[in-house]
Amino acid sequence: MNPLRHTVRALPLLLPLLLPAVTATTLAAQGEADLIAPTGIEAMSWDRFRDYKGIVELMQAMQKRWPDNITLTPIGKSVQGRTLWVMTVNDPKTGEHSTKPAMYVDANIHGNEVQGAEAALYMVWYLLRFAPRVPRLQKILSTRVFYIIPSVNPDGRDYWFHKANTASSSRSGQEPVDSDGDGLFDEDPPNDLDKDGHITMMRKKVPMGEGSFRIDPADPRIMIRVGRGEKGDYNFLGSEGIDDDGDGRINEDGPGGYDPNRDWGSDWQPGWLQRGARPLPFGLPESRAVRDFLLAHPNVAGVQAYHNAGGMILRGPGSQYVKYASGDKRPYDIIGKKGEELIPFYRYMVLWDDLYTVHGGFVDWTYMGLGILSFTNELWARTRMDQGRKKLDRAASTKLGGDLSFDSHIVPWKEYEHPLYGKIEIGGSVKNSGRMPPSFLIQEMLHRNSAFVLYQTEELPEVTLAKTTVTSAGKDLYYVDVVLENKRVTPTRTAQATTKKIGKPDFLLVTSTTPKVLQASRFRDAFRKNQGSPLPKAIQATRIPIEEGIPSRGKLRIRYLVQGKGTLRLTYEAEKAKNLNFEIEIH
Amino acid sequence: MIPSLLTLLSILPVPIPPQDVPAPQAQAVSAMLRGLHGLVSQHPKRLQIEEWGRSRKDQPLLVARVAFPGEVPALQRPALLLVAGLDGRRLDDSRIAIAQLENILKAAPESETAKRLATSTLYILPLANPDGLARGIAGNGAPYDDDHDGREGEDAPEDLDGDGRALWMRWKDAEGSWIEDPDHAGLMRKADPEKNERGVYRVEREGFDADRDERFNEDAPGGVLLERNFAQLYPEHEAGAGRYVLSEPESLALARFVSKHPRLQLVVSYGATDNLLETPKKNSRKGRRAPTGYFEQDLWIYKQLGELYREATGREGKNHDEWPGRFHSWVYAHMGIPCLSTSLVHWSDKAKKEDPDASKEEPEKRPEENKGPEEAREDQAPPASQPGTKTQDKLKKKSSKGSKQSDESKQRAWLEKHYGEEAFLPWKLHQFPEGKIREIEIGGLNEGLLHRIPESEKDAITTNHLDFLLSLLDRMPQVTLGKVTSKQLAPGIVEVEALVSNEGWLPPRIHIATLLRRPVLPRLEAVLATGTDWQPLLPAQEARATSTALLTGPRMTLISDLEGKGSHSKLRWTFRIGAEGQPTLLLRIGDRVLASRAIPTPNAKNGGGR
Repeated sequence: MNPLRHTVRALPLLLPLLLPAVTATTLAAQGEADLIAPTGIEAMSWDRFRDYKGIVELMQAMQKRWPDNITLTPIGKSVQGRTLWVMTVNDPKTGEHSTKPAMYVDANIHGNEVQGAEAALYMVWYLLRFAPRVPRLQKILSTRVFYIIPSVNPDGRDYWFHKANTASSSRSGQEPVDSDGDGLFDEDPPNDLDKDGHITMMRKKVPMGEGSFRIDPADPRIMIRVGRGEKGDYNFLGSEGIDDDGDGRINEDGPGGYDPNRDWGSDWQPGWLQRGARPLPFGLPESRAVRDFLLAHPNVAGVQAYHNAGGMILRGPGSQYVKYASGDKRPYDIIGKKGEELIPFYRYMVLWDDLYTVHGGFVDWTYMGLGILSFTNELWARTRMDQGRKKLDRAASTKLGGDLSFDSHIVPWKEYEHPLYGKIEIGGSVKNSGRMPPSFLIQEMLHRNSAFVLYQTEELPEVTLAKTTVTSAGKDLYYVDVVLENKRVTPTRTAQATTKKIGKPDFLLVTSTTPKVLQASRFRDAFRKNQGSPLPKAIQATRIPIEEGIPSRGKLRIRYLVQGKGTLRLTYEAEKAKNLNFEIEIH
Repeated sequence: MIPSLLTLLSILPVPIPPQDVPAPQAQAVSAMLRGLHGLVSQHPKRLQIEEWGRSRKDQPLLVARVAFPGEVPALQRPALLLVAGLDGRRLDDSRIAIAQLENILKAAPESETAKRLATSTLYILPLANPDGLARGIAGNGAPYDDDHDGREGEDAPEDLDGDGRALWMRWKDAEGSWIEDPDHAGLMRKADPEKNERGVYRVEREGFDADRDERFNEDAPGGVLLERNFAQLYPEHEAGAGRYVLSEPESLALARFVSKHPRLQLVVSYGATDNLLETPKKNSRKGRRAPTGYFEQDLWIYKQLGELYREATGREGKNHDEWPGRFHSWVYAHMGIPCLSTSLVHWSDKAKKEDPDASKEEPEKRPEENKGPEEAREDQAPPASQPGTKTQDKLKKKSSKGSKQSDESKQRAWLEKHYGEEAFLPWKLHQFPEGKIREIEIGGLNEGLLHRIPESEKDAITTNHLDFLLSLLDRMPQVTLGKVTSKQLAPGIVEVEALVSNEGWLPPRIHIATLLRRPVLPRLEAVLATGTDWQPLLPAQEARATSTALLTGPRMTLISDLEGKGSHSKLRWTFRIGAEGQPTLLLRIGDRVLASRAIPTPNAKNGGGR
């Protein structure tokens, strides 16, 4: 059976699987590791990647193993009719999922960027497997919720798994597009000319001096670009293919041809300003399903959208002229820099400034449109091959990769008679190399990124009652001071949500009718409690909108002027934090 | 200059109907929708009705496709789209669009109209916002929390005095900042401290403070303004813009319609904006940024079609060409199609002579063109709750530049001319039924009439705008395969030259369309005719030695260099004439063949079309 048919076992397959370690010494150091060999799904190895069917089967198997904690919900269909599944992870003993702050994780928006699906599911697997005996994980599970969509582009995923491709083809989904503007759709795709199941490269030998490349004398698998004054005898002709539509160009209109990560409604721009954009924003059924899901779940307070390669922890803005609200920089930086600590060789970066401009990107929309702190991790960092010992150039890196994978990632050059170019050679790297880790490095990558996402999840807003005091203000009158605190990095309302009035403001509600609340004011600190002006008359003291929420690791201070004794019942209501109910006795 | 109430009235959305749907408007909308289907049975060969979506209230979004019998199928012809009724206050626009449709369908077989529509297709979407039209509100009535208090549409204006209108109310208040304009009896304006004036009145929309937040009528169920919901410079998070771009079924259906019709070459929109009365403003941005105006290379189209419009309608005046989130700017900037927008209600040039105040004013340039989202929001934002709020401050800023007065005067004069006493309702005492306020006066300008077309003008507007519309059909691009000549270079070797021309006025792609790579371009293919079919014509190195083959020249060429009328493109090939098949040139758009021409064999005359 062709191993590429259902799963891709990242290369090489030769090293032992990195399941939890087995020695007592290691166990002592890693408190969550198993003393007794696990069975069933808990024993599964994370050293390979799965096609859409494999991912769905894994989700179902996890749901079967943890039925109380996992719910699978279809939210829509892809262009080709594949179901988009959301995995909700919740501890029902502590409340409905919609009542808790949620972390949203998705992956694989680019069809060829498959490994994020496993990263998302590994995190759930790890959390549920070890939460029973690791208190910190247990707390995450009981106070937070996860919404996971392992593949938001299942058509692209299966196209990459089951068709001849390169490591980079294809980012697109599978809706036909007239990429070359000739009125025809997908009529000139790459062609697997040598029928070996891969789209590799075409090169042509030319007289010495007419080429831009030469073969590395130390390693004939490697092509070296010639420098100034040097002579080459090879030219590259691009990916395998012919001119299917007779327009003189090769492979210019393949399947799909758009970028699903340029489909989102904030700072969306048409194709001439943003390559890969569809004619309309939210033009894809997959985008619309995710959009509608997020709009229906205002408790989502953090976003991670996994991508493929580069070793980056990215955030927006995607364009230089887009300004993120300055108040959100600090929480962004705290989380991003924590990521750099947790994941060696990763850099925390701003999209437009450190990488490139993106209009209409997903994490720009979730921040600009929804006001959620959002990250994209580019998973594979090539430096991990040499563990950062020395910076290798491309040729040396290829050689090291070859030695570690025993050259299984290389298709040797072989001759081919091309209809346009005549005698050429075809060869190069296979698709499951270069932009994804070899099998022996997969689990570590998944784990470190999961640790980062779990950190962001821990830092979702959590409102607690810091202090209440009651002091007399004269006959039958009392000052009731309430200090609420959010110890977490994520504010209950981001600066973006506050300034753009996104979602509902938080509310501090008085739910009891006695004692009577006469007035409310905000105060800055314990020394200036009477200096705060009463809230505007337009605001009811029993229903105070807190438009800016409770900031990152910050406090909210409210002073009530009440008349009479009794029990004052209050609720702090926030879309992105669990509601806090509390009482204050006045006697 | 001090902003007057008239100023405020002129920029706020009109009259707020009672909460329940006003029966006459809803009935009119239903009748128009039914009537469209009725027209099909009368003109089955000329008209089809297509449903391109449903509104939030499940009304059909119907597009009338008008194509008279002709050689080319309707979908393959160059097409023009007319859209009316995006602004729900402008039901008369929809009525006129339908009247124009009925007029067109009655055209005699030999008439100019019939000839035009035998070679081109006209689409009409007359009721683009049926829910808003049925309620007489600018938006579509979608749930919307204007005051961001966590509740939607909970504080709407009301008709307190039961006269069928929700106008304005005023009462004397120590904190009031308004006075009655001594120069215009009954009109209110802000007091001017520089003139030692002190405010006497508070002025609010007619209605209760339903949510008890001490603001009046600040959260009406007006919904999303469709003319804020399109993707060009989308004013995200601004008032009325919707939760996200193209969030509304009505705007989405229209955007999909335009994007799915690659033969659309022109669009006309009846609404509140105008880019025809003057040559509109050009893009001021450099580099690869979303344009804020028209590219200079495309301005000639607007200039010439504007002249045509003014000639057809006899109108003059100033543009009102706002861009952020507007339909017409999106059509141009994202679809690459010229979109002509016009306000059928036209009060500006006639009032110029009639209003004595106007002559005293310095002619001013409207500042609205291409303004940013923040400013644009103010124009159609729900009513400001209190004079002296941001809206008034902005107005003051605008007024201080002297930019509004002449327009107000023109509007008032125009309203009084056409509606007499209905134009301005005198202030009448009314007992306010709740709160501290005891007595109010209700009255003011009936500005809702600014969105209605006077009965006396309807026929003329219908006719002259129809003339304009039909004249646009003559300006469609018409790409044709012209003369094909051949010369024998050697026995069996033929050199061929073909001329592809644009016989129409518009280029197949205007400048911005070349960037957008739409609408789709025609292409010329060299093929091999075999019986009734066409096969790819192979280059010599791929063909058998005895076959007809292409020696030089492309198998397929996109015709991308055609400009306006008379421009042409020359293409050349060399063929080897073999034993089987006839080399043929095909002019196609998409998968549709526009023309075919067999290659003349040596010493023979040019082949005919097929």
